Amino acid sequence: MASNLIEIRIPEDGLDSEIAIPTTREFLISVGRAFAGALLFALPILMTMEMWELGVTLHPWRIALLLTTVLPLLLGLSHFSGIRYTAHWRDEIADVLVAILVSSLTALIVLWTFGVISIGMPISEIISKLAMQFIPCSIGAMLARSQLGGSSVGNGEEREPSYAGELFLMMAGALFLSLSVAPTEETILIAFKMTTGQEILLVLSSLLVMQLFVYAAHFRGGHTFEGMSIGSEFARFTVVGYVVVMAVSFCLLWLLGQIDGTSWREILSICVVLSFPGAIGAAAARLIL
Amino acid sequence: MNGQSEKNTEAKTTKQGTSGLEWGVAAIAGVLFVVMVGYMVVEGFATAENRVEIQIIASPAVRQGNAFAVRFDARNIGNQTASSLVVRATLSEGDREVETAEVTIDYLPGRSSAFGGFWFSNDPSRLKVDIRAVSYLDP
Repeated sequence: MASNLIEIRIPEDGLDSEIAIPTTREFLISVGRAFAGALLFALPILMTMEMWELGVTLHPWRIALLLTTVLPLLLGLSHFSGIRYTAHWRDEIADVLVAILVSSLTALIVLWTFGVISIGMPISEIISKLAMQFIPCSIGAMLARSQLGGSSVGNGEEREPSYAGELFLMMAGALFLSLSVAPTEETILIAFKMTTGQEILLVLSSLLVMQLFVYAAHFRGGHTFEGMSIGSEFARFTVVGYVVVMAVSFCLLWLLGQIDGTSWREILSICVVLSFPGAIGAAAARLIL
Repeated sequence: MNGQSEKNTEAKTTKQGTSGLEWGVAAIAGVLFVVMVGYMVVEGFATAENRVEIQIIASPAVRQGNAFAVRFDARNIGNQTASSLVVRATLSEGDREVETAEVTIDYLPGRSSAFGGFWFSNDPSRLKVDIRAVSYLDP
């Protein structure tokens, strides 16, 4: 199976490349961009009431788990998307940590300004409310730091991700888009309202949308694997991608306490509903990143 | 490194490193992150015995036009969040209930307070005032 993959890799040996250390000015500019990106990506979620409430209703361990998932997520995003061509893994770790600091500050400032966070609150409540905003803010911060207006650093060459990398990007895209929908009551309400027939139709529509994005990748400079048949592409990206999206939906719903005490039949319906935006996010991530 | 002024147009790549300032910021972020996660883990152990316990502290009635306003502070001294917390105020004279008022608090996290008020048409200072939390839901 792996033999029909053509991977384009940029040499990573360091012999043929030089390492540029950003100046203080470049660093500060990139931090400014990161703030802008965090706001751009996370403002709708920062202004969603359910996200604030989850901060007080979720068990602290789930919040801790949510926080820790941010690290590998951002690290993978930084590595696979090639948004910044770093010299070493440790540079990517520094990148991720800066994004985390920027996203905490962004969330803190915005939520305090909105009066959602105040000084008299228990620390756990403040941390929880910030944690809920971490994923969207930090993804925004990471992408913006390197991409918004960014030809000042890097040489614009992208690292082409492997198949696993593609799946990772799809997972990140699904997570990003479904995160703003998952905590809302509407997701569950839609699942209650839909008949089984409509749910099957939604699954097929999600698959169709993903497949259309795969085609779009051929035209719009997304990542493509040459010499792969339509059937193979459908199986490898659309079907496997949808399974990844469903898994993301399930984990997210569980993490946000949305399916506690719910029957498996109903959980499946809610996952199908949430996987619709997830599928679009996943497919778009392959195209954009 | 900067002495190499000739920029190659071919496939030579410029990898990005990390400046000292960036490492400093990253280190602060790292410490902050570990503290946040650690705090939530410790907090998780503390909430092992879940409990909602509400204390109500009421202020004296203040006349507002035809009504009498009574402000209250509902404090959850337990460690679990109460959702849809109903607080009821009753004015009574002897055994006779004169007036009741009710308010629902959407969420009251553990060790937190919510402030609110009731309006009565009777003067509470001449009657027995009883304000208490009567029901809640697990979130």
